[in-house]
Amino acid sequence: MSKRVLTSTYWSMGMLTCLAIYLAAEWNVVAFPHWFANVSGLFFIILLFLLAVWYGAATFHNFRHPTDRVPLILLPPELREEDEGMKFFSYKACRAVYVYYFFSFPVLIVSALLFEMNRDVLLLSLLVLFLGQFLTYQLAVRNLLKGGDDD
Amino acid sequence: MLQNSVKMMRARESWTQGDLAQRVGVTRQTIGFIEKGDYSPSIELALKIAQEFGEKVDDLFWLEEGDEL
Repeated sequence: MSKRVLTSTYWSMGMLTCLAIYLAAEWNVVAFPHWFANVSGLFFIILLFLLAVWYGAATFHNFRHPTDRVPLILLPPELREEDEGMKFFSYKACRAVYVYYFFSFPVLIVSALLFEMNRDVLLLSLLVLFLGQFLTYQLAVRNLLKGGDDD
Repeated sequence: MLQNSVKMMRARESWTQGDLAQRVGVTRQTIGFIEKGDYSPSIELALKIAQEFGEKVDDLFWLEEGDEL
């Protein structure tokens, strides 16, 4: 698995979505259908599976590429860049995420006040915002990385 | 804007972006962005690149005409 795949933000998105769905079902935060209670544990298993696959692939990558390692530390995978050019693009993408929150949080707060959102809708909106953060980061990185290959 | 002759120097040495990247310890993409002027390298990286080509930094990197120093 390449370093670009291993440091993709989709890992965080997948793991955190599974954790959010599992916890929301376990703690009855969101009114899921009754049948969902039987399969909510599956999301926890998927989370562990993703974690194991990522850890295994990153360890294998580090074994095969000792000079181009993926740090196995508690950081979002997308920020595990050691190369200065990639760090610069991470910085630019983080800036895009900041702008995203700068506008989306006030919109959510005003919407919650105006429409008197109940807890389920508010939590769902926060989850959507949270996933939007990853998409914003990923799209910003993708746009920045366009045209970098020219051998 | 920072101009550079990294691509020309690389062609002179018949190196790929990957070859140069490996020599100076960055990714191939970073070399690509430097060549296109999308990214201005740190002083340390500019020095490393110049060292690999056996050139001075100001022979590899210069400001576009009209830009103030």
